Amino acid sequence: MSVTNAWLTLIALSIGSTILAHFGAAGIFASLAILTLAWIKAQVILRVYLGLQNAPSWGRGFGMVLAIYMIGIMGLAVAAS
Amino acid sequence: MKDATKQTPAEGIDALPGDLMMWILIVSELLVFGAGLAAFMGVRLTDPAGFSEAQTHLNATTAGINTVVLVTSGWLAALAVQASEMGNILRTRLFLAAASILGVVFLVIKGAEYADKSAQGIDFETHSFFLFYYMLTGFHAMHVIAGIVILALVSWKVTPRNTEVGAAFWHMVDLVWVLLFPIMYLL
Repeated sequence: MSVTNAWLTLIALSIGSTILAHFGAAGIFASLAILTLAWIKAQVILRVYLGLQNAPSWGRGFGMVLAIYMIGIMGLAVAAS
Repeated sequence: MKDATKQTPAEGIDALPGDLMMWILIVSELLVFGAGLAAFMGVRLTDPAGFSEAQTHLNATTAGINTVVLVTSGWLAALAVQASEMGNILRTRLFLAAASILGVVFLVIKGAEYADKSAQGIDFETHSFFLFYYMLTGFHAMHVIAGIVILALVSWKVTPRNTEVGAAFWHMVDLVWVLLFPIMYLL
């Protein structure tokens, strides 16, 4: 993915999560959707902006740690609902 | 006979793009912010209703605009790296300057947000939500300031390596914000 495509993806995902929250999407499914969009954005920054798409093994490692972290955050969001 | 010009792909630490010390800094910062956000989510369990009420005092739309500002700034920093690798110093400086200006725009919007909270009489002690809010967003804002200084130093001494290292710090600031924004403002 090029840096410009990554930027467009990040803009679209950011607007998507803001719209989701702004127009009253509430409840656990909205929270999980918002966190999933944040997860994808973080992956795009790691892979494209920080260049981990050119270092697949490091990309997988960072992706795995991020996945564990985001699942933990999602678990806490579910517990708070 | 082996081709002497053929290079084997980098492995292990050598495969990591950019500077190792910058990656150590990035991972350290991500751990600090990650722990802060996890603590926020953990404490939220003790008072979900209070946290939800406190969150209504934040402006998610303004923070969403700030996300677009910072993500765009990150894109400009990434373009600066490409320009630097092509040896175009003027273009590199222009991209870095544009990225820095957007960093300043982010801080101005953040400052207006803090001023609004202050006008509402909201401070650290109002609710534990705001303790985390000021601590995490304030610490992040300090990193934005540090990033602007780093980008200015890189603009002064443009080399592909310096540009890559400076941009990597800036992307870390970006990465922290894309996680902080939804957890603090939208959940």
